Amino acid sequence: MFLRSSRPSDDAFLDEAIGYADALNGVARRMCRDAALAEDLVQETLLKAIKGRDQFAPGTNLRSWLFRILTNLWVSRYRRAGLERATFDGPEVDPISDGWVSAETMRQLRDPEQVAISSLLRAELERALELLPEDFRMAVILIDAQDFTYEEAASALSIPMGTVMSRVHRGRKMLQKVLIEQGRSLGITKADGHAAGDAKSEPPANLQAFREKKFRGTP
Amino acid sequence: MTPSSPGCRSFVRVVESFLDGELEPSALIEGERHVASCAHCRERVALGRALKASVRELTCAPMGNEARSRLRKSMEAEMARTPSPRAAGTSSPRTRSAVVGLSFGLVAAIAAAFLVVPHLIPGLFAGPFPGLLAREAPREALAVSGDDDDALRELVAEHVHPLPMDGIDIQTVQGLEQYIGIPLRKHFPPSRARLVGARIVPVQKERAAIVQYELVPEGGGAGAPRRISVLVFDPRRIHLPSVLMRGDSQEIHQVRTTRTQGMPVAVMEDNGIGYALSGDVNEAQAVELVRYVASP
Repeated sequence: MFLRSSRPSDDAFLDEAIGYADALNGVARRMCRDAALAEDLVQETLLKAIKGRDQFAPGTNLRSWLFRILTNLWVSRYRRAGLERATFDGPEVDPISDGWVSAETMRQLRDPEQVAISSLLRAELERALELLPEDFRMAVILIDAQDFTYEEAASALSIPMGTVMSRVHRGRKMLQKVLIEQGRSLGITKADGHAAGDAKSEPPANLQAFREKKFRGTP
Repeated sequence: MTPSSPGCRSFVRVVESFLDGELEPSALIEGERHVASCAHCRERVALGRALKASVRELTCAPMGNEARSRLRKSMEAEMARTPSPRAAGTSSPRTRSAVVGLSFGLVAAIAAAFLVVPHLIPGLFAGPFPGLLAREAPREALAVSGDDDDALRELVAEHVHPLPMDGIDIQTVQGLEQYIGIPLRKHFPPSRARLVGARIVPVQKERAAIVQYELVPEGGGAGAPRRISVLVFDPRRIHLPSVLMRGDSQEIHQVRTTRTQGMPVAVMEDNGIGYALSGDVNEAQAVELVRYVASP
């Protein structure tokens, strides 16, 4: 009996790896907030992958492996020490309850024609995404933008699957909360959000205070 | 149906998994049935999908053709600079193509021999550290019932699925000290273990290094070399479960052991540097090896 393990050639490895360049770049851009730095991060990620291609087990998930290299590089090299370690205190740290938001309010937050957030709130969503703590942002981006499974995201971020689920949940809730508040202040939604149930005891998110706190101490 | 109805309350608990396609088929069908009958949850799902779609849109950043072409050239150059062992006709121990012309019966017989013979002749397969296989864990190595820990999980994950190294020789490994703030100068002698490389790893939002070695088989014997991985960290910044790292001076050279994801891990602290070792070894060997690499 002859057993032969299939191992892609170097060229095939390179082609497959570079196929993830856009996805890596999308995530790197959100992490670095700088196009040139993001490109450097992607390049270093792929060069490390090439250098260590023999350590990749064929048949396993290359995308997940590449994102793991990227996130490790980001944390160990690119992230400015301390500045990105946003931790929340005050109202934002509490688990966000599934407070009462009417179907009408939720409908008003969406674009009626496209399956996306209302274009009036798009800029707010972008800002809210940037303000998410880095760990939450990464989890939300991998799951929502890159369609990772929880298992893949857990492998890419080197964290347990339960932690991925919790970070995605909390990240999304924070985004929703900001959108509801902004929708209300822009007059897009009516003032019924967070009006009943558990949400009663929850102080409303104050985006301005949130941003001031976030950027305090940033040079 | 109202948002406070039992059906809605049950659905809210799984709505994220529903959106992410992570529900079991039966739960998915149940969820879809609920969504079809509940306007409120239908809107909840629609908002969740809209949020996902918008995040996807916001994070879409395709590389330009020029950048992509630059990237490809760098990758090709890197590939030429670091030829793959398999391309050169040699095979790495973990990844080589296996062409085996042995009958199943013969394979089974060899496997059985490996299982039985070491018990009959204990000294024969002692490996690179004679006596270790036959020896129990030293008495002073305290076994700790293993609660998994992020740092140890990272060590085991790196050992099982290693990522590319940041440094592959003594000099470049030493150059990584600037990232972790502690010395990386203790290594096994080449006669015992070959340095494979080291890389910086983020642990508990701090940086540590994982150094990997291949144990040299005793007498230059053949066979796939066994690997070990050592997490070198600053115990003031990276905390293992307290039961593994007790800082009192009487226990300064105490080796403690645990198991993480089925792998033995031996931990020791020396002069303010923490060492956690795991790999293709048993617990007694892990203890012996960590003591070797950590001791002055």
